[in-house]
Amino acid sequence: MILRSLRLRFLASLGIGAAILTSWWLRVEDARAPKELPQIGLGQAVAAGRTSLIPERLMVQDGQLILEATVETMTGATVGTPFGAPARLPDLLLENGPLPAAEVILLRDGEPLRQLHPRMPEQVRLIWPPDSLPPDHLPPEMTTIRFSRQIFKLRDNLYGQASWLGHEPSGELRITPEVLP
Amino acid sequence: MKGLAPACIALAGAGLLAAFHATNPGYNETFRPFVTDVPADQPGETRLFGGQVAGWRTADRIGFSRFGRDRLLETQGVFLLVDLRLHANIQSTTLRAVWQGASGREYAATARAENLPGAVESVALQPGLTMSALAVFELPADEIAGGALVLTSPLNPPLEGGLRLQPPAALPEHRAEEGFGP
Repeated sequence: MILRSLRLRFLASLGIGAAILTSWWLRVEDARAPKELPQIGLGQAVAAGRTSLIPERLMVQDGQLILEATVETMTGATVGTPFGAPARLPDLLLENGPLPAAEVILLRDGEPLRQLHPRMPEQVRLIWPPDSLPPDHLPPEMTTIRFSRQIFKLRDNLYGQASWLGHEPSGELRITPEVLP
Repeated sequence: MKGLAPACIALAGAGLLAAFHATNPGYNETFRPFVTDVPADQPGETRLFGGQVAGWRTADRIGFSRFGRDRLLETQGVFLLVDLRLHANIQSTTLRAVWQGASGREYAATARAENLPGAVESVALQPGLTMSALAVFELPADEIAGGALVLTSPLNPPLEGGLRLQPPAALPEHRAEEGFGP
């Protein structure tokens, strides 16, 4: 009888010990995993969920920060939400906190980007509104733009259907913008 | 020896469940619209709407005037214009048009041309009235031959009917610029 209760207590403490060790090791793994985002250079593709984006040029014109980029859809069908749904545009990081989202227009005819068709990359301009840059940041020196991608799951946990879920950061571009007259 | 029979039953049960699990079709395959294939130059019918392809052509540019502004659309591929004759069957409805290209990729009607007169996504079909509509796609030229036009309800609901209309046998006539009046 005593032996039996001892065995049960021993098993229970083994379980508790295993749980403590596992959570401790998860913390260690978390600390070991690199937290830095991949650094993207000009001309390097970065994932944006449904699309792939290649930043080509960053410039300041008339107080507006403009990023020229090529975007192409990675899916087999026309995409009506190139930056995810809900849309998450690349973030411009300044010390003053988050800035309003950029507007995306086609370089071709200045119309807003509304769709991306498969096999048809588009050249676009991401334009941050003119009042988004504080005066003491003009002309900005080092600018950081953080890109994010929407996570795709082929079989989700609810219906087992294909779903687009939350956004996660996918890369960072650190660069000094050209100042255009 | 005594435990052998229950073990065999449990194993067989586990095997059967694993087989069910492996062959169970997913949500994506099970819940889809019923798309009917329609041969060239023939009308197709679904529960909500019916229609056929009346003609097709391609263009490098599209010029039109809308809301007092002249606009010229350009593309790095080619514009495919498909003329349609459509009607609703039991209630007023709008449609969504997709070009299923030769490679199987799906090109939705371009949003840049949605203000064109008679653009398919802005035409409200009425029961008993046959109406003309125009579907404009932006796509690489090699997706045209061997492709087909798919018409569905706007949200493409599962278990609803759709039509896959084959285009005419002759290749589309090409123009440098297609113009539409105000």
